[in-house]
Amino acid sequence: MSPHDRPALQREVALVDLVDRLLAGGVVLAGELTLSLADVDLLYLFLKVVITPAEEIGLPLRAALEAPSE
Amino acid sequence: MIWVYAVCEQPELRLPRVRGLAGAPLEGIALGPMLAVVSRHQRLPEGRSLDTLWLHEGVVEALMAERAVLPMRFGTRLPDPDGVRAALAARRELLLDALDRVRGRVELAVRAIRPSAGVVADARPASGVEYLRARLHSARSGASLHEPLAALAVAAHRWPEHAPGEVLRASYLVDQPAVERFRLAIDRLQRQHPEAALLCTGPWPAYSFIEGAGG
Repeated sequence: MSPHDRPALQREVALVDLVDRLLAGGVVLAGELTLSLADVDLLYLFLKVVITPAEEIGLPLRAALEAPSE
Repeated sequence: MIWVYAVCEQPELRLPRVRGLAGAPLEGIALGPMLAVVSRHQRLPEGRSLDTLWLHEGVVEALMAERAVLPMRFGTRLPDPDGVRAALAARRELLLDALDRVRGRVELAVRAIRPSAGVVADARPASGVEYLRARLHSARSGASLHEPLAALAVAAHRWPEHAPGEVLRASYLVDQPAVERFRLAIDRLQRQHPEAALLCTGPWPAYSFIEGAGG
């Protein structure tokens, strides 16, 4: 990976980390959440489209996105 | 409908000058020493776009800049202010304990990806022994990255790796003054492990360290 791929990759990873945290972390205050599991799947699908593969490590990263979040 | 962004402390502080989802103004609903930060909506704000996620996150980060904050899971909503107060009252002790735990601390996310490890895993190892050897190697390289970082953190949480090639996926709860030291440690580990790409994001609100509060 060339050094200047790093900022772009960093932004992409921040996006994945954001989704991981907002949808799977945080306090569950109420029983009713807006997003159904199907919505979450859609979001991940959308992320896959948004994220352009960075050379070399693009593939593992995409695989990371394709795996369901716990 | 009330959309909840976070529960924080110091209800007497002014709310940050940022807008909520769909441009709605922020409001505080206090219960004792706690304040739920919310916005009101006639109908559900569109929840699928990434902009919405960043907007929600922006509110929590603005709060985090000035006080201890517990981020809500995205999508938390209640019918009315009384519902919010009841939810706070029902979890009062857990929420106060969690606020104590995160005060002055932030979450840093670290991922390590080793492209060659992915190739090994994809290539269908010839035998079970070979497979186990590859797994063990991957676990060891994850641990050799995780342990020095965990030593700099107040708490650490490691998740099972998602993908072939991912050798570490973890979150660290770090005292704010130690964030710089943590970043330097990442740089040092990166130099020691040129075979892996270490990616650190944050500081995040402590999304991954509020288990007791119903996370």
